[in-house]
Amino acid sequence: MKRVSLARFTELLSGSVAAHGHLCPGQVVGVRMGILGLRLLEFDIPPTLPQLKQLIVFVEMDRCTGDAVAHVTNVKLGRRSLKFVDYGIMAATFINLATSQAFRIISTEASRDLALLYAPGLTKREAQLQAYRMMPDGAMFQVQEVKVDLSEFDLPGPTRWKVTCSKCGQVVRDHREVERHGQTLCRPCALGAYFSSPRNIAWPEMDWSPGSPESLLDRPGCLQAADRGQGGVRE
Amino acid sequence: MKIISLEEAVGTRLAHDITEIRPGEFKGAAFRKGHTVCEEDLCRLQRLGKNHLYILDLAADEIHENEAAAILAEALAGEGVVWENNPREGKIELYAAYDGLLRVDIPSLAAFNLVDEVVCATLHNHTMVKRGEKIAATRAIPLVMKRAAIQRAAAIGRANGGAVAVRPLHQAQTGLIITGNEVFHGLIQDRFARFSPKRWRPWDRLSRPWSFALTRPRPLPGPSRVNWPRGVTYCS
Repeated sequence: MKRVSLARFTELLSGSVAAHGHLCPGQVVGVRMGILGLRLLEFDIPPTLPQLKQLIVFVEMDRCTGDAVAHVTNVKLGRRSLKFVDYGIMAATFINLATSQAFRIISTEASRDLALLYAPGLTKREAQLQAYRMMPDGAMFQVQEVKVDLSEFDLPGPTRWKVTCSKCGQVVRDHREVERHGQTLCRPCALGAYFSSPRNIAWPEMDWSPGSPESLLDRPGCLQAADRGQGGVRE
Repeated sequence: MKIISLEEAVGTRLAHDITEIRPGEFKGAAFRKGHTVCEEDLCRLQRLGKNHLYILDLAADEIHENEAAAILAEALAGEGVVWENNPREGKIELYAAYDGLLRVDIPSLAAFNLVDEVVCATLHNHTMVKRGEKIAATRAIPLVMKRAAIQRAAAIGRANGGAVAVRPLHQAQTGLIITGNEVFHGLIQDRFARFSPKRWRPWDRLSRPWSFALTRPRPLPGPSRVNWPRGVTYCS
């Protein structure tokens, strides 16, 4: 397995902190988790472009750790290489599509208690920040080799399938539709949604677009709307 | 793992040590793993409460307690630690290879003991130990367990060069300096030096033979500027 120097780890952590917005124990755990996942798959850190095309990561929590994992592995929701499953578990699964190898890495609860031993004399939060840099992977994580069945409709690449919900008319992509009593429905119509009482509205400045003349005036070097009465374009 | 009756067990080989405890007399393995059960053993096995025996059929990802103990001992043992690779009842004891100071990596030991189904107990950290002294013992608790858990525990125990180590004693050159005008001028007889070696006996093995000197008291300079009299050694 490829080793990561402390300097490289620190660099990855700094990048993750900048992307996420703050340093916290979850960031350190996430960076360690991401590194371990890539090492288990024998990928470079960060992955090369060909490796990135073979990498899928499932994160099981929407916490700081998830952002750090995504930063280290360079997976993205929009590229379909990052998947979120809302289990509320500090775990992530790293999959190599080329080999079908998959490792689920779980952050141990014991590591939280051990932090005060690895970095004594500090507050719990400070101890965690310090200890998670020193604790061996074996103490921080449990790893399971798992099988993940991904359908072709879960993979990165262009949309492979579209249908229209027969109730609301929305287009549903990648086979996320539901068949109910012979009808093809989107999930909100078939199963209910995280929102309720939807109602279409109108809003101010509905005529705005980034390419509208109003927006063009917002470019640097152009007069703002409030200045327009005083002259033309600045030199 | 399959269970068979004692009668069926005759001719089979034991899959594990069988412990016998006679309070105040004996505690240990009455039968060792690999022993072939014969008719004469049956009564003793029954006295030990064994009416059935286990036949092990380990899966590829499983490990026997003795093999596990060997892996754990190898991982935990750092510098100055020796052990006999002859697990008894899934346990291996670790000994000091020489006189020295026991060094227990407490975080690693705690992390090791938090792994299910393994345990390691040690003397207190920073205990002075003698060569051959038992300093720790480790064991795998169930008869059969998952290999991955043992490997994980071993990795934790192995971190930082092994959770249990003995540091050799530093052979520092030592000496004793007694100051004071009265002693220096012979007005009074020094009575401290003759007690010191006895009182400081625990340090004896740290040092070469003591040397003594009487010296004139002087203003205390900075430590780096002390100009000790020639031929006088001092604690470093």
